[in-house]
Amino acid sequence: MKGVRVDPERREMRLLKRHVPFAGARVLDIGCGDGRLSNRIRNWVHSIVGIDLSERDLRRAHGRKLLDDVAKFAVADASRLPFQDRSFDLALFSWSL
Amino acid sequence: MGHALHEAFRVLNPGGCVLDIRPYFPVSQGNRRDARQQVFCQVEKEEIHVGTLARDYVDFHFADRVLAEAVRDQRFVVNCREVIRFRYYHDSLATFDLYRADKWDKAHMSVSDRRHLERTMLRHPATVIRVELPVQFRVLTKV
Repeated sequence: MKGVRVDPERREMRLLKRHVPFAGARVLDIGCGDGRLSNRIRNWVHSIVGIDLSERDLRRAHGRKLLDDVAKFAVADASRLPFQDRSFDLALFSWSL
Repeated sequence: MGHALHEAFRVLNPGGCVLDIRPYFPVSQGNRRDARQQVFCQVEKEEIHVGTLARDYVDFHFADRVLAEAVRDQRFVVNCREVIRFRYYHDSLATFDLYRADKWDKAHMSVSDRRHLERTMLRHPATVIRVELPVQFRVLTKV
């Protein structure tokens, strides 16, 4: 949103870099919303799948023009994930409840 | 959160991680004013605390409990935990209100805090509105 800056000090990113094993990881972003975090980490990982129930937020995620070969987004219910067992290295719950 | 964490456990490889980033409103702090989202006006190098955004914290408390149970049941171990102050900057009252309506629609600002904010913005039109909230960052590893 124009006129709003979210964490411009990048405190969140510094923490992520320090503590999370992103290199080569297959990542599932549960409740990805508008893809803010997926967008920030996309260069560090093997692939990201973002899911959310909100089509409006997912349209925003697509609007960020993430790389198609790295990041994919889909409408899905976090309580019934449409993925096979043991298919991800990292699950993100970023501001999702 | 309960079902989602169960599903996350299922789709994670052995040794895989859960990263949980959430606003930190522990049950022990209740609805204390100093534990809420804090709203400041930044006037050049001076900052003026104008009020808070309060909300119902039940969902956060429930999520905390679900994660604690997953650790107690030895499905996950906690690798690290930190709390940071996460900041948002709004260039005007209009953008603050738009953002509130979009992202913080469950948060409430008291009438007196709102008046304080509006008066400060009138007195200092170039003010940036800064909102801070405590955010907890946890990495858990699947056992």
